[in-house]
Amino acid sequence: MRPFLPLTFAIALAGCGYRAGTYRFIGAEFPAAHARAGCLDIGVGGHQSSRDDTPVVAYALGNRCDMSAEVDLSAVRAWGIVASGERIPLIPRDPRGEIGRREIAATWAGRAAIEYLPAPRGSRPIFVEVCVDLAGIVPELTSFQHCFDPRVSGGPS
Amino acid sequence: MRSASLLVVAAALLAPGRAAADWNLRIGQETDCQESSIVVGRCGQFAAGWRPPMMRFEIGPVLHRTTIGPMVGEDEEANVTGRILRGGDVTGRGIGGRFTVGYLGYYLATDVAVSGIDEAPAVSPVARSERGDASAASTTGMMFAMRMGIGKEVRLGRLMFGSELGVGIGVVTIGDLPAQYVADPRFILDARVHAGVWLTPHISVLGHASTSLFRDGERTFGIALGFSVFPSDGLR
Repeated sequence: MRPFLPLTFAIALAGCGYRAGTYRFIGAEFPAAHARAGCLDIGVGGHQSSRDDTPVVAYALGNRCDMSAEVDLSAVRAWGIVASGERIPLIPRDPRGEIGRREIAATWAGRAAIEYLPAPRGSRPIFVEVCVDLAGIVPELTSFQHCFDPRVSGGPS
Repeated sequence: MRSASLLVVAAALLAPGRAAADWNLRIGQETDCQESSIVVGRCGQFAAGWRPPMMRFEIGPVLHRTTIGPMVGEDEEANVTGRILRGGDVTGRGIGGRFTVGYLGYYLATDVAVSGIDEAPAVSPVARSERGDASAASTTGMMFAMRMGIGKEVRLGRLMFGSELGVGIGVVTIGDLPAQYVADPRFILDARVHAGVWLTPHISVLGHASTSLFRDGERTFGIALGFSVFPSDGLR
């Protein structure tokens, strides 16, 4: 929660929310790949965790509407591609069972960074590309894939 | 000698800092959370901050009604007293302000209201020397109330509804100094409901009503314009 305290204080002074179409919230840009579906402006980006080389996907979700909007990041499908071209499904690392359907308040934005692990437990393949398909996180989003090179580090770890 | 003193002072100043640094390092090693990670399952909590807190200012007119019984007021400085021979209703109109903070619909609010009295039992001047002039009875005065409430607010579409319990203090003063004056300080314990409509994510119009839980006939009504720092107060 520590990162949110100064953010909350800054917003209290500024008195603003998320502005539709800006893909920017509290001075921070959304990840590079953008989509718009229903009430949501969606930003997604990926990188390698600096801790243990696993892929981490950063999501930013801006609510364009005056009503809260539901989003379900557990609906994201993820997979990694190894050098041989084999496609390996990935599952989110969620030791506390938190990831699921949530609401983002009206004209507000939310962020999440989720680490993805190979579905076959214990395997440590080296991916040349990791992809996420966000179709279904909101009913209006029928297709939105984003692929990135997981060997590039940076972003939340 | 002077150098030794400076060394002692420097050591005293640096020691807490070193101790704090060691403590932070130990915390970091034990919890693996020394840095601020937002990755779910590490130090980050999923969906944290997806709903903003509530922080709202309200201001608007209020109507206040209460009762006051037969009593004798006293003002030491003016050296006079006023007397209400027959108690009755006190009504007034004024302005109220309110500041609310909360999260996930639960809130804590602070209210202040000041009203001018429209109608009240007459206060007769009674000087301590018993030379009062009963014909100069006054029914003007002021009401002041300051309370804190704790409650819950929900949103249904563009509408919001809330209810709360509040405690506070107030005073009803009737009469004009220095001729006649009665002040009735009182404890406030009330139940309050409000309903509002969101005009924009930051601006709302509300109506409210409250009733005392132990004093018959004490009620307050009002409308207010609300200004929210965070959009829609994070309500669903």
